[in-house]
Amino acid sequence: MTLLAAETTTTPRTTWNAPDRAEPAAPVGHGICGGHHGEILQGAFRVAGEEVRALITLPMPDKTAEATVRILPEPGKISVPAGKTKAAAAARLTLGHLGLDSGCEISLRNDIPASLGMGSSTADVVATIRAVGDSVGQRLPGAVVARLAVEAETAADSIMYPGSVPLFAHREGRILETLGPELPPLLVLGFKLDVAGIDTLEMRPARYTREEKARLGVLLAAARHAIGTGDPVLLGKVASASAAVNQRFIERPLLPELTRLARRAGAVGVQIAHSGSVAGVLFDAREPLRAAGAASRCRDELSRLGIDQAYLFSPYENYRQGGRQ
Amino acid sequence: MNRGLGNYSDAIALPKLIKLGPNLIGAAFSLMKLVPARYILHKATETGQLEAGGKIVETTSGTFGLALAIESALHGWDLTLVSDPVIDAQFASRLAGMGARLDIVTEPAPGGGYQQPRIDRVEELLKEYPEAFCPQQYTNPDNPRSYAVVAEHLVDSLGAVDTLIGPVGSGGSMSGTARFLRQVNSDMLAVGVDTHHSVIFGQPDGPRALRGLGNSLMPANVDHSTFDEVHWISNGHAAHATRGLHRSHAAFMGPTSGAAYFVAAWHARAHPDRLHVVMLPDEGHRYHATVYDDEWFAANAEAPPDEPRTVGSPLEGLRDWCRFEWNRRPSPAELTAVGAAQ
Repeated sequence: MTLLAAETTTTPRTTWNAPDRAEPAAPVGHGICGGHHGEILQGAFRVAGEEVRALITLPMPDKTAEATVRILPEPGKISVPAGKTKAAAAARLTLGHLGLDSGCEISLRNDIPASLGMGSSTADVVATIRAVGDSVGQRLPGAVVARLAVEAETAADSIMYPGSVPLFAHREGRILETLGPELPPLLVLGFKLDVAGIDTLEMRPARYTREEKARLGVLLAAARHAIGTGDPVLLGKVASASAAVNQRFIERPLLPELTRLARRAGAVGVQIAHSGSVAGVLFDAREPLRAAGAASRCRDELSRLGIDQAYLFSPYENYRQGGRQ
Repeated sequence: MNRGLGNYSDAIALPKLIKLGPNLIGAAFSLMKLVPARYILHKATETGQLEAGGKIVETTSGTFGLALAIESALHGWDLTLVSDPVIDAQFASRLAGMGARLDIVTEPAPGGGYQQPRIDRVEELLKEYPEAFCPQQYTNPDNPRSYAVVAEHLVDSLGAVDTLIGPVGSGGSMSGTARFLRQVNSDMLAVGVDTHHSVIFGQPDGPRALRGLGNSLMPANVDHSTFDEVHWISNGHAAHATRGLHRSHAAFMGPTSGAAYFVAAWHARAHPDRLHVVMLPDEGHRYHATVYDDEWFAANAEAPPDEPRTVGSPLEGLRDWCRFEWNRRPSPAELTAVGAAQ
């Protein structure tokens, strides 16, 4: 099943840009956004005859950014914690979008580790956009949040779409396709890879060969089937194959060893943050006890590789709870 | 591939998926060769090798020529197909009806056969028109690569495939489709279907009655390491199976489809826990005078046995339905040692 991106929002459409409705309903707004654990699939895909770079994100809902925004009467005055310039840009863009001739003061709380490719700065940006919207009593649609986030940040993740799994064109901030309401049941054993974090904006886009693009097209079809039918085994294969295709651009020396280890542990695949430094071993969570047992044995094997700080999380829980706003 | 409304070729390029058994799906193409023709010609326009109204030259008397003619009619290219007097009149008129030029070689090679004279004629034409584009389906790596869209279609609809069965002629469809399907199931079995006296899987060259699969020259596009298993089917068995496919499933397909279906049905019965996909490359319209003609059928068709004969080497003189465990050998050159050892 294919839904057109433009028709897919997770919140009802409102007349959000009508200026007469943009009178501040409350001077304070609140917004929250979850983090993620990199990508299940990333590449260049042919969509309606055009080649578009896009990704499928693996959400990590137990890490979040929260923003509180207080509207200030002085136009253009934006006050943010030190170093949060992207959040400031996001607030300015959102105020402009809402037709508000005022400034704001932003406070942020964020427990998503920074510089690991886990969407920490995007979560700041998204939480801020939501908070500014909330300050005037508006719940901004995902597509608007995405567009503003991309404008504030250049590249962004798809964490502003709770309750759906999008194929997201991260450099353009639009959904190409909604693959389904939720990921198949997965348990993720995540860990930090011993590589430097990559600045998402500095990284040049990978130049895929024709063969790689052909492979990526098949992986997208497999992701569509896996998400449509709730098949964690097939989705695990997509993640492993995507990591292998992208290995040529961002080499993870540990990947072959991780792949062997995952196979031995009875995992369904290996997942790599393509522009970050975390990775995960994916387990079929349709039988939670079995998954937990396998993950625990895998954790022991990882520690033999010198990886001691592994953590477990479930991206599926997020969707079951209907996501977070 | 374009999911929106498109032209004739866009609309028919992907196979219809047909349930042929509890664990057997047929990928029934109207014209499978549209897949490589579209990809190769599209790439040639992107790289500037083929311009608007440009010339295309290829040697073929088969379905690849038909696919090139369809694309040329739709895009306004000037197509010349080098063929020989064996081409049937109805097929030639269908090609001509779409504006394709037929260049018929009349002199066979001294040793017999038209393959070499046709290749020589293409060389001549390419010298005369150096700007002309030649798709070269037997050697062009874009032929197997083009089948990624077929793998996409299969995976999108079915998920992981356990066994892929199909006829082998240029090597493009089976080598390409299997390579891409294995991305999400590296354990997938690939079963090639060939015919007696074809050199592809190591038999000595000889006259082949079943056309559209097999080859008397080794196509570079056959990636032998794709195949776990190979079957050889005769023309008579293929005809019988083709009519059987039509009768029991109403699928009106050509004899290479019948041959592949027959092997696939046997495999699917033997492995009820695995999902099988069989490639059915073209429809039956070209075979009204042969497979679908009762008189021809009575004289040529033969009911195949229930079980294949498993052989120790394809170098044995194969006549009946034979099966050989190829085990992803990289080339038939490795067969000598195996054959001698047994």
